[in-house]
Parts: sequence; C-alpha cells; structure tokens
Amino acid sequence: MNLQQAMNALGPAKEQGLIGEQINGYLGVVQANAEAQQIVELINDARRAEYSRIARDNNIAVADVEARAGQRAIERTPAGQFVKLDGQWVRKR
Amino acid sequence: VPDTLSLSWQLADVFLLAGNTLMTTLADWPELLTLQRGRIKHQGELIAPLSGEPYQLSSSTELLDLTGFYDTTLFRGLSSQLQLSADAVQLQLGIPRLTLQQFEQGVVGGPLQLAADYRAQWDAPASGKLELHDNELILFNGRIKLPSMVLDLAQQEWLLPLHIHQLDLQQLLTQHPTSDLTGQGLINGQIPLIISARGVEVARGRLQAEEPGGRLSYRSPQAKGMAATNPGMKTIVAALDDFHYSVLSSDVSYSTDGHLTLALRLEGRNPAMEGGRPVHLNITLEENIPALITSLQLTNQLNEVIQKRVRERLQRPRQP
Amino acid sequence: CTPTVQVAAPTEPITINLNVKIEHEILIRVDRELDQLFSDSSGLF
Repeated sequence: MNLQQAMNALGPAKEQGLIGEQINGYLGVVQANAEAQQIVELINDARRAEYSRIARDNNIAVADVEARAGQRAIERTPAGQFVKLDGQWVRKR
Repeated sequence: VPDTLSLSWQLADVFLLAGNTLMTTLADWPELLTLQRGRIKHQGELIAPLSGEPYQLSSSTELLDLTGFYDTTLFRGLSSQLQLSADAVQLQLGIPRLTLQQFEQGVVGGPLQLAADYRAQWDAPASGKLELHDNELILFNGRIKLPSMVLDLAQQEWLLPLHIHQLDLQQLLTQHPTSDLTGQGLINGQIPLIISARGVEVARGRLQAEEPGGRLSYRSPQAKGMAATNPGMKTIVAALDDFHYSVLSSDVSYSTDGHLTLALRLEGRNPAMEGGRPVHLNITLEENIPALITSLQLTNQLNEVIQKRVRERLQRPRQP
Repeated sequence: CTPTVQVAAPTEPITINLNVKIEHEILIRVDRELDQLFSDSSGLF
C-alpha cells in the first residue's frame, strides 16, 4: 500500500470504525487488522512531516502543533466515528 | 513528676539541588509545585502541660533562594521566613518578609516583596483574617503597590486596590508579542482588582501617562498595505508612524473570562504630518489575556514540564 | 523684501475613532495552517 491508497482508504476505514483520531494529533487502530495498521502508519508519517513544517514556520515545538491538531481532529470527528479519550476508544455521540 | 511535656525538633536542612525530600515525606505536597534549587530549614517546639491546660506549638521555617515552578509559573530567588504558632483554639502564621526575585508566566516580572499575617480558628482554618503589609511588585521597571489591608477570607469577594507607579511603556511593549508597536512613556494609575470564586476581574481601572507624555510608533506592513486603499487608515498610519503624545489615558476593564478592554484617549501629533497638526485618537482596544499568555509561553523556551502543562491547557475544550 | 507666506499649521485637531482587537498570531497562524490540513483535499484527515 502506498500513501495514495492509504489516503483513499482513510475515510471508509474511519466510517467502518477500524481507525480513529487521538488527542496527540495522530490516527490510532481501533480494530487490529493489517490494512488498518498500514493506513495508520502511512497517514501518520505524512501528518508528522506536515506538523514539523508548521512548527518550523512558527518557531514553536512540534508537540504544540500536534496538541492543537489533536484537539481539532477530535472536535471535528463526526458522530458515530471513534476517538480515543483518556486511553479509551469511544464512539463519538 | 514533670508537669509539662516539652518537645523540640530541628530538621536537617533540605538542599533542593539534591532532591526534594519534603515532597516524598509530606503526604499532601501540592502536585503542581516543583522545587529545583535552594535550601529549607525548619525547627519547632511543642509544650504540652500534663495538667490538661492547652498545648502551645510554635515552628519556624526558613526558605532560602528557592527556584522552581508552580503550575505554569516559573519562579527564582524565593526567600522567606514562615513563623507558625498554634494552640488548641487558633493558629497564626506570620510571614514577616517574603521576597521573590523573578517570576515568569508568559510575562516576566519581579522582584516581589510581601509581608503578611494570617490568623484563624481551628474550627474554620481557611476563613481567617489575612493581614497584608505594604506589598510591592516590580513589573516593567515600574512598581505595583498594594496598601496595607486586611482580607477576611470568610467573605466571598475581595477588593485589592493596586496602585501603579511609572510602568515603562517601552519595557511593556518589548515583552508584548506584537512587534509592530514601540514607544516610550511612564504609566501611572489605579487598578481595583476583584477576586472571587468567579475568578479575577477589574472594573473601572484607570491608567495615564506621566507628564510630559512620550512617543509611540506603529509600523505594520499589513496596516501600510491597507492604507494604500483606505484613506482613514492612511491618516492613522501616517499619524502613528512617529506619534509624540502629550495625553495618553485609558479606562481599564478585565472580565473573569480573560477579556481585557482598554478605552484609550491619545492626544498628540506627528511633527512630519501636516506640519505637526494635532491629532486626537479614541481607541477601544480588546485583548484576550490567557491567549496572550499562552502564545508567549509557546514561544518562550520554558522547561519541559511547563511546556507540557501549556499544551494540556491547549487541549482542554475552550469554555463556552 | 519678498513677503514669505507662512502657512500656519492647521490648529484644528484631526479626531480618529478606532476599534482594535489584538489577536495572537501564533495560535491564529497555526490554526490557519492546520485548516489546510483538515480540508478534504489534504487526504490527511
């Protein structure tokens, strides 16, 4: 699987509850399966590169961008999809 | 048969550089408080007459040059003497003198001088009387003074009338992240701080620049861009490029949700504009102080634990 | 002598009323850049 395919599979995988957003700004696997694992790894690598670029442009720590992204990712997750809160996968109401 | 039991103790000095033994021994050590440097001395005495009369406890704790942080505030050079005396009915904590060399909470301030006495009954230890004597904070090279007063902690709300003496506008503007504005001038004023369960707020604070006034210079690329197409903005940008003011005064209000509003009145001129024609400005200026502090903390290189706490603050959903 | 015309500076002051809201760029800029990441076209969210 390459990044292109992972990006295409991202939406459906979220809707099927295979993967979900976490507070640290990165995707997590909700139900372990090989494909979900690959999507998460490829997408998270791409996000890490973007977060580092934004951090460099604003001379703040990458972790600050991750925290901001995580907060917004969880806020924007539609009802029915999974988010990880306090270490627990929860279906967002 | 001895008629009184007398017990006195002296703890070995604690050197924070070698680790905070107090943190491990005291069960209720405040989780948000970390001490990294400095020295603590503690000694005390308990006199308990066996005949059943009330006991007498007294202890003295000396803090010497402590450095550390509380939540997201860094502090250096905290020295004080804490004198506790208690009996069966009441307790009294005396702080003859507390000095704090510097603190950093986004904005850097200090030194702080504090002297206080707290007296309470054991049946309501947290609602006693706190007597404050001529406390003073140095901030932006100026002084913020609190007159001697008594705070009754049983009340729900406390008014702290802060007197502002000669804050240096240049210092203030250099610490403020907006780098487009520079200036000189000394600011005096009165800021009535109201503290309650709702938080901290200010109503009808008043600030004004000292005679003969000073200078302000606002040079911002965006404003210059807007000035090209907007005549009103053009005048403002021209006037404020090198504004010599004789009057700078402001009403100040601050709400518990962190909203600062300044109703500024400026009178002065730019010698290079229309031959120095007088210009009067009425500016309503709004700023969210928590956002200011957070953005300052994000860019200042603070230690890792504070950065982590600021980040957590970022993740907490914003209050409605 | 040639009369020199001395244009006295207009004494009548210009009055300007202004409302300024200070936004804190760091958080704003980061949010704006994150907006691009969150848009459907980025493929990352």
